[in-house]
Amino acid sequence: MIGLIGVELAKVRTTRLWIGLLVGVIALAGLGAVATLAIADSPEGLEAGLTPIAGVEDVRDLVASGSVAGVFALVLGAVSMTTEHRHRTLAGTFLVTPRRWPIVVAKVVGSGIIGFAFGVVGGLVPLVAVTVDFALEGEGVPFDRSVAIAVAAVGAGSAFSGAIGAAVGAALRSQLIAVLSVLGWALVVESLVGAIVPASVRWFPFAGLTNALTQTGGDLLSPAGAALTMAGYLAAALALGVAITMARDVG
Amino acid sequence: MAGDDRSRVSGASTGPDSAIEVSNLSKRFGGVTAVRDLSFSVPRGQVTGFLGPNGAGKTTTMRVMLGLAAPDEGTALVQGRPYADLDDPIRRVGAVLESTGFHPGRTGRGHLRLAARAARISPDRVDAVLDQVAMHEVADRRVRGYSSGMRQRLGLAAALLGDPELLVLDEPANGLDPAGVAWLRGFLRAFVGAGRTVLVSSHQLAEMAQTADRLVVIDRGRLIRDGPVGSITSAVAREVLVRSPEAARLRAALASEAGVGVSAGGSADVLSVTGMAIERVGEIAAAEGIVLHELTAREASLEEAFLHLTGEQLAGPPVVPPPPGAGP
Repeated sequence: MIGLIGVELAKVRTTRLWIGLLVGVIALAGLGAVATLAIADSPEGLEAGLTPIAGVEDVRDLVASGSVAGVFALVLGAVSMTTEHRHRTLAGTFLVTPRRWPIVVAKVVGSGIIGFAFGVVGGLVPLVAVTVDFALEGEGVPFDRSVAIAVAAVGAGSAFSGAIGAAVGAALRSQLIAVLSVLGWALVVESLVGAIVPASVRWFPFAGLTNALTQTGGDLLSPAGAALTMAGYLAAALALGVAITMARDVG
Repeated sequence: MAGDDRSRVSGASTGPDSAIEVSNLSKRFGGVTAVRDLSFSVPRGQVTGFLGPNGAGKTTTMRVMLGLAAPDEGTALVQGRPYADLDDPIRRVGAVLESTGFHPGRTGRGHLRLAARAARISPDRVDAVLDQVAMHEVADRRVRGYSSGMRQRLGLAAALLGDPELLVLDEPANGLDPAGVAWLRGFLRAFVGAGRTVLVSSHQLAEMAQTADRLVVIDRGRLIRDGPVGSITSAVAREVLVRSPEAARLRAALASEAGVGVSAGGSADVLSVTGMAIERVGEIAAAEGIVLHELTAREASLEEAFLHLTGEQLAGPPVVPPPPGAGP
């Protein structure tokens, strides 16, 4: 299995999609952090109720904004299997590993690993931005262990996104439908349903559970509860992806 | 498990000389039956050609054989077992399906390295198979720049990675230029010369006649004929051409025999005779005292045999549209 996970990681590395998505993570996390820093320090920001980044908790919140990386991990996961349908490489893959289920598991784990890396990068970009911002003022950024944990938590949330994207992608044949489905769920459905039934947000994979890893309070589950629920969602998605992959004829 | 679902074992045994055993195989897609109660075997140490018109069910049969599609009925055993149950299948069977693709952004060498790594095959084999298919010069180019012939060679290289005993090839000559086709023929003959086995589907009948030892002919998912190439061509009525200055009298004498067809053979003094051995034609001519200038037996070509067996017609000459502005 470790060998197959290595192959799946190599498959991603030998194409260029991951580079584009990583650039997207850095750009979006960086823009978000710079905008937050600029607005929080401005009179308009103060009027809007924002507070300047001053303490460790503010730095942690800024790091959490890097969880936008999860969207890119979600896309990368969703295409990991569908790209094999698209380029008709799946037959070759299954000729080497005809039992099929190890391939799905390897893709899910591999996408989780890449998602984790995306998340760590997404968490580090705001940290670098705020560090530079403080350095320009001649000060050191507030930092303690909880900030490092926040970076890891952003990574964990992004790992979940990558893994569940791969599991859902394994159940679908069309790359376009897979990407639109996961993005539509994460960016549209959760927002719409959350606006109508706010109490349901805590159970949503992205707006609820991944946020629960980096934020506290509100209606969100505890980090441990969120992690358990995420494991349940992932197991269900993986079971679906494996079942459909095993039953499907490959052209 | 997938293997159990994909190629059910029903107690059918594979003979010691069979690399592949297909038994009562049926496969339906919705309301369309692609393969219908198909049974045949592929003996070891030979090139078996798998022939049939477009849509006959060749690729579907191969997909079921390789565990890529589940049969509705019957079994397809490779080396005596369902493909998915083979230990290290890539070292036992190398396969190239017509529908197999490559990621256009990877290099040929990168594709082979990934396949070797997945199959736990030494990376040294990558260079070896690139040499075998004469692709070293283009191996580091991205696949999107490959011609269809290069893609075919890359697919064959991937199939050879595990140094398998059996090759299953679906239309491997597609996209190859004449030199490539000749190379492929030599390669396959050398492969079986080393005691290995090939099942190859093709619609290039003349090529198949030169490459295959035996043929499996299917049409509309059913087995039409299975046997050595010679037995397939001889299954079609042989023709005897006879030239005589007394063609009309000879025709009357031959036509009086039961089951014999006699027709004009292209010129006034030539007859085409079917349903009668060449020796009997000569005996009748001698008995009637008819002078013969030529007596020739002509065996059907594989193409003629194939068209006869599958009930298809040779296409007539192409209709050339008149040049623009040409009047009726």
